[in-house]
Amino acid sequence: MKRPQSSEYAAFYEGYISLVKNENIIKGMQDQILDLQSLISNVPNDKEDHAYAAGKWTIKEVIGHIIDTERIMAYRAFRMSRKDKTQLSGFDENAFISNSNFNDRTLYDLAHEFALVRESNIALFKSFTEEMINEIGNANGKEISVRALLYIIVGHTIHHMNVVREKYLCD
Amino acid sequence: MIKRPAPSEYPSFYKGYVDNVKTDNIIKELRDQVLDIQAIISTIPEDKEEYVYAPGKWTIKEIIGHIIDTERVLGYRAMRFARKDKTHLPGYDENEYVAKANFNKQTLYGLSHEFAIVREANLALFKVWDEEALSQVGVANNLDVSVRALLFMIAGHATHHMKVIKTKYLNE
Repeated sequence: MKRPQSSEYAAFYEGYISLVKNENIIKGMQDQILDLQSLISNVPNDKEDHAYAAGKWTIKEVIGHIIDTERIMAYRAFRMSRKDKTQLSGFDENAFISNSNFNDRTLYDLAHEFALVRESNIALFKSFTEEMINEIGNANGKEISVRALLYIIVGHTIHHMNVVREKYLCD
Repeated sequence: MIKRPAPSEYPSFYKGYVDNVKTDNIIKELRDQVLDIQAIISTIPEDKEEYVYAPGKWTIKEIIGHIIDTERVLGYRAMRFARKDKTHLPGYDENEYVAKANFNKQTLYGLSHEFAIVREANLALFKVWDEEALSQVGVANNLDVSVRALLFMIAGHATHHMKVIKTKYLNE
């Protein structure tokens, strides 16, 4: 699969897409399940509900946000791959976290949910033809390609894993 | 234990699907269905996989694909509504979605696996919801529906199509 051209996504997503180094995005998605589980296995018990500054998400909430975003982006890719031109709505990531209960769950359970959601999306994405990958739709008021959405899913996860390493596990 | 949805929680069009669910324990029903559907799929003879019982009808592979599509759409609605999101969510054209997919090029095993993993991914979300999340109501396809009703519709819709496979395709 080719990398998305910058014309295939809103400039806002450039930072996420540039984090993706994989030539094979499906393999990148598979590898990331192990990467995320490895990162989580290094989180000490006393850091699970820790936020590095007032008002910041806890590590559990960061993982929850990665899963939320994966569900939203994959749903967009699913609809657009079927040539559905419906304008899809954005989502308020902060409201989604505050209206969920990620801190009441175990980090193990969240890691497990991430893996299941990712596997369910890989099952779909690996069936996509070149034509489906090239489809363009509209989400949150901006045009975007299915290919770009797959790269954003991986790049967004890398971004938040980097934040966990740098801001939460830095000592 | 999750209560059954009241008829006021879903459009009357969905009553048949909700009524297909005979238990109040919807999480167990959603889990058991993974095994039930795999059991039915395992009885499908190879020469029936792409068979249609009348012109213009979906193949068995396309029916499984449609069950998965619907699970993705309804599961997504349930997630957004459970988070108190009041955005009006669009419907989808189920026939166009099957026509634009390539289910007949996939194996029945692959589709069966995808169904199981999509259901598991949804269960990971549904099983943690409390009464407040399950009672949320949102708007999809211009009609009000509760999170609880969506869970019953997911199970009942899959049951409906598996019955069609048994009666119309496998002549049971």
